[in-house]
Amino acid sequence: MARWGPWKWRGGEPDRPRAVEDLSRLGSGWESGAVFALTALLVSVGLVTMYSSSAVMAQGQGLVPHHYLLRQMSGALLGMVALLMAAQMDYRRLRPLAWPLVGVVVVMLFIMLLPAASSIAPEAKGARRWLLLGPVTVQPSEVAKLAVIVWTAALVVKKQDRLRSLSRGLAPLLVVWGLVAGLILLQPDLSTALLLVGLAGLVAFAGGARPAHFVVLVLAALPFLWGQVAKAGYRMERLLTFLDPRADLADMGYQINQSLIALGSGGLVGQGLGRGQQKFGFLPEPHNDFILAMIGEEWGFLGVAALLVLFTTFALVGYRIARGAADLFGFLLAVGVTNLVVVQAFLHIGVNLALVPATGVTLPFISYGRSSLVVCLAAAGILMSVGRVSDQRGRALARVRGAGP
Amino acid sequence: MSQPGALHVRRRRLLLVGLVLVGLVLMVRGFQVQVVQAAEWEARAARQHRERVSLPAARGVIYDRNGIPLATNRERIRVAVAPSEVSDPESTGRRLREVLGLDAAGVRRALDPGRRWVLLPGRYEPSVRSELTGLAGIYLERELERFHPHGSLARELLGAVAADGRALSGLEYGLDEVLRGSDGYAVVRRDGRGDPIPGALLTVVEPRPGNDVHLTLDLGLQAIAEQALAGAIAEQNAAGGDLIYADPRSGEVLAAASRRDGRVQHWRGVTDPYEPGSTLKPFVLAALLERGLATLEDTVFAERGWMQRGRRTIRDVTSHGWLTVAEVLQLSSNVGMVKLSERLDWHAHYEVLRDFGFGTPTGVAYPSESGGRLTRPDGWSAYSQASLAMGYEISVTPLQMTMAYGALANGGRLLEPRLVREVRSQEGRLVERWGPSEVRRPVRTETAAMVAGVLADAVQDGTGRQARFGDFGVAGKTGTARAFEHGRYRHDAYTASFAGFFPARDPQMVFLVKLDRGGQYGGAVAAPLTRTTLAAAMAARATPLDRRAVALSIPDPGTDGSAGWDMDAARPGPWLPPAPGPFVFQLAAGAPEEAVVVSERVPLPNVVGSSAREAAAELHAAGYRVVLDGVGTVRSMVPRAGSAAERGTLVRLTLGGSR
Repeated sequence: MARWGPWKWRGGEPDRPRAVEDLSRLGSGWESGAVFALTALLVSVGLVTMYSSSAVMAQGQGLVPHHYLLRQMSGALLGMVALLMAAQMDYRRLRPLAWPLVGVVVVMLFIMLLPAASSIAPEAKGARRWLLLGPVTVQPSEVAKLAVIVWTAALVVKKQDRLRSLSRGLAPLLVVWGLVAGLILLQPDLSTALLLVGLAGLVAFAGGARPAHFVVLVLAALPFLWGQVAKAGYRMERLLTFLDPRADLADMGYQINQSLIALGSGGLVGQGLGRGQQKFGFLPEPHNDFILAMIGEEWGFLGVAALLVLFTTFALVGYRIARGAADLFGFLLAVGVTNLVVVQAFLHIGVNLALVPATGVTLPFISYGRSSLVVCLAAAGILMSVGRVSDQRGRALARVRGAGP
Repeated sequence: MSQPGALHVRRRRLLLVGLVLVGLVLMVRGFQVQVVQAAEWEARAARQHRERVSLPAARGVIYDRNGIPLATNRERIRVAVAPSEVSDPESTGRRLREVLGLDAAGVRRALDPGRRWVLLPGRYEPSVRSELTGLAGIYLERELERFHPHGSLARELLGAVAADGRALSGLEYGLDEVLRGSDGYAVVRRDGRGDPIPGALLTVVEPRPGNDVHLTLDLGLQAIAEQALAGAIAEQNAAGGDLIYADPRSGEVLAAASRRDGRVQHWRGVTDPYEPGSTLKPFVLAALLERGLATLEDTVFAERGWMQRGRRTIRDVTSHGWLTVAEVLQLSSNVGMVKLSERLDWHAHYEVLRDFGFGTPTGVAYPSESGGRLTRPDGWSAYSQASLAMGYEISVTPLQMTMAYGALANGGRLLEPRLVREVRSQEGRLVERWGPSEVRRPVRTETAAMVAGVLADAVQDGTGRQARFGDFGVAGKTGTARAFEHGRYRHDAYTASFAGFFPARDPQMVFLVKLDRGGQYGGAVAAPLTRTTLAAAMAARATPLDRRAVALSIPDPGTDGSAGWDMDAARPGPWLPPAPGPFVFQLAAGAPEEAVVVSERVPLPNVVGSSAREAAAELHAAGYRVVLDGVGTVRSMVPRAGSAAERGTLVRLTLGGSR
């Protein structure tokens, strides 16, 4: 087992018996296209849903019905540019950018916490989550997720064998994760902080970190988490209502119940596009945290199942790209960004289906939020880049083999 | 360049399997919620999305026989406050005070921030709607309220409707099926705040308004009857009384008033039976004549005023010797009547009373009708026949007695009493109409005519003299029964009644007047009351009396050779304002030549400022017809007061002033 550790390849010597296998694992070129197709399809579904879900709410706020749709479309355009740029770029150029990326994110998150910065980081709904940078508004915690994934991938590649040691491997990672997550936690945004650590942890896990370390880590974090949950009343309520949704229908259980009512009343085939009733003030955030419930109401189980199939396919394709990655960094990057999309999507769907305590997780590509949309599209672009590079390498290898003995 | 190793490959597979498994779990959960439990969630969705809004049906209007509304609907506004939604309590409170007239405490209660929804108790004019709309947190709800344009007139007959539209009593209750209609409803979609979503009307079932009921009552006659009855009760210090006018040809009730202890309650004329006394005697006579057991010329010895039957003594008020059968009735000799009744066997005696409708409810549309009490012969004692001959040991309702006299007046046909002429839908389509309905013929036409003739003479010469009505023949019989209280008969109080019909020849009206526990005999109390109301009724042009027929039925028109009939003898009694000058009746065009048309112009009395009823009574007494428009006191009249108007002219009174 240990024999097959990653250090085996150090020195760049080709892996003899695996070289043949490698060839079969290398992308044959269609994966990047599949990622693009899936992404484009999901974004399209998102835009169609956006109008249906936000028009009523926009009118209720005195805005034009297509207010949110237009904003989301501008985000989609920007995101598509980001996707194409990332896909064209060689992902390996991200490795040296890992530290600067994390640095920028930490600075942004830090600025937001400064009391003096309230003019560019206004408080909304009890939290400061947006940073106004001139004409654009950025949600730094969304950017932080991608940045930390890239950074973790780069660091895992650098540490390699040391990763299996707690003090020299995982601990330095924990310091940076803890810093970024802690800044996000102070916004306060517990669920994003947890999600960030989780996504980064999955990269480290894929990179070979010991499962036992994670168990210890989680056990150590439990008292802290409990303290956090108990400190903020609403978090406690969320947890309690998740444990017994019928306990308090009027308040937090209300959201979960409305989500289930929306999904359940959609039935198998749904009420039809635009025909949902739950967006009329019943579903909280029908365009965002509970957009799946709205899709379920209007498109029925068929719609929800289709989304699940799309995201699962995204996972399969993303992990296939990881398997064929040209190097470890590409492998970890592919796993990380695939998780970024799929884990968030499954979390969102789990919340909407009342399987996970209520959290403000968005549905990638579909939920309203331009930062999230741009970041997710950039992540898809990075995934395509990994696929493209491995593809080029595969073709090069094939040429070598074809020309060889 | 480092490459992924076997460990990474395993970890990758582990993560991928984990993700796919999570996807599968979510798929199963989605299936569970959206397919397995779909019906349950859908029901909950429907509960919160849809609201059934009741659309109350307008209750049918009740009209009198001439189409004057007696009970109708008016719109009222209920006001509710959601204190938490009130943005500016200061100005909202001021507005509530100004528009609704709330006091400081009421405003405080209405805006109490501790309450979520405050429904103000009052019901307001529709005008508050325009004054209160647009105020945040104020909600208005429309309601239909029963409204009686003529105040308490005929209230005992009409009955009451609760604020929520439930019929409580009277004809409202008895005819509820007809009047009620059926409420409609609309299903509206509403949003999370409970507000209806505009344009999202799912189902509308229009309310079906109730049908209109046209009663047989005559408003003018009813007003006269009520006023006369109230006056008589006050004058006689009686506990209460009843007055019924009906048309013997159709069985239609034209007016019916009931008073007890100075209050209008329900129509006791059908619910409270009484011992009729001598007014029952004509039916025994009818039975004797019908069976050939007596003729009007037979004589009977009246025993000089008293007679022993078993341990009981039968007395007359004045002692008589030999009397003809007709005289026995006219003088109301108890002794004569008891002796005559003994010619009937008990069954025949019982049957004739039963056939005239006693002991059986008449089937009138009024709820809780009593059938009175008539014991079958197998329950009689040795004294029962004698008691029945004098009108005791039996109880009848005033309406039963009226209809029984109607059978004597119309040639022997017992008719069902009618309160409803017809039912029409709100659009005016005739739903149902009722004509005269004969129950049975208790006696032959000739028998009825003979008894009627005797009754006419009774008024002319007998106990009912005070009911004489000029040259118009009134036929009738007084009755004075000892008041029965706490298990014994009183010696100082009587149920005084007078039943009869008018005119004696070809009667158009049958009536019953009864005063409870008054101090006087029937002749002294009830008959003058009859005369008074008949006089007023004659003067009111809108009454259903066919004056031409009345005129022609007078035996000897114009004995003094004058152009009209001097009605001075019929000057109204003390309970109505005296009429200025003689009554003159104008005959309809095409009248026979000997009936000369008379027209007399006099200045119209000024009734502006008086109450509707006073004004109507005054104008009726002066010989004018009256149409009322509105509620309250008289604001103006057309033609103007003082202008020379022919008697019989229609005077339109606009009401609405306040005293």
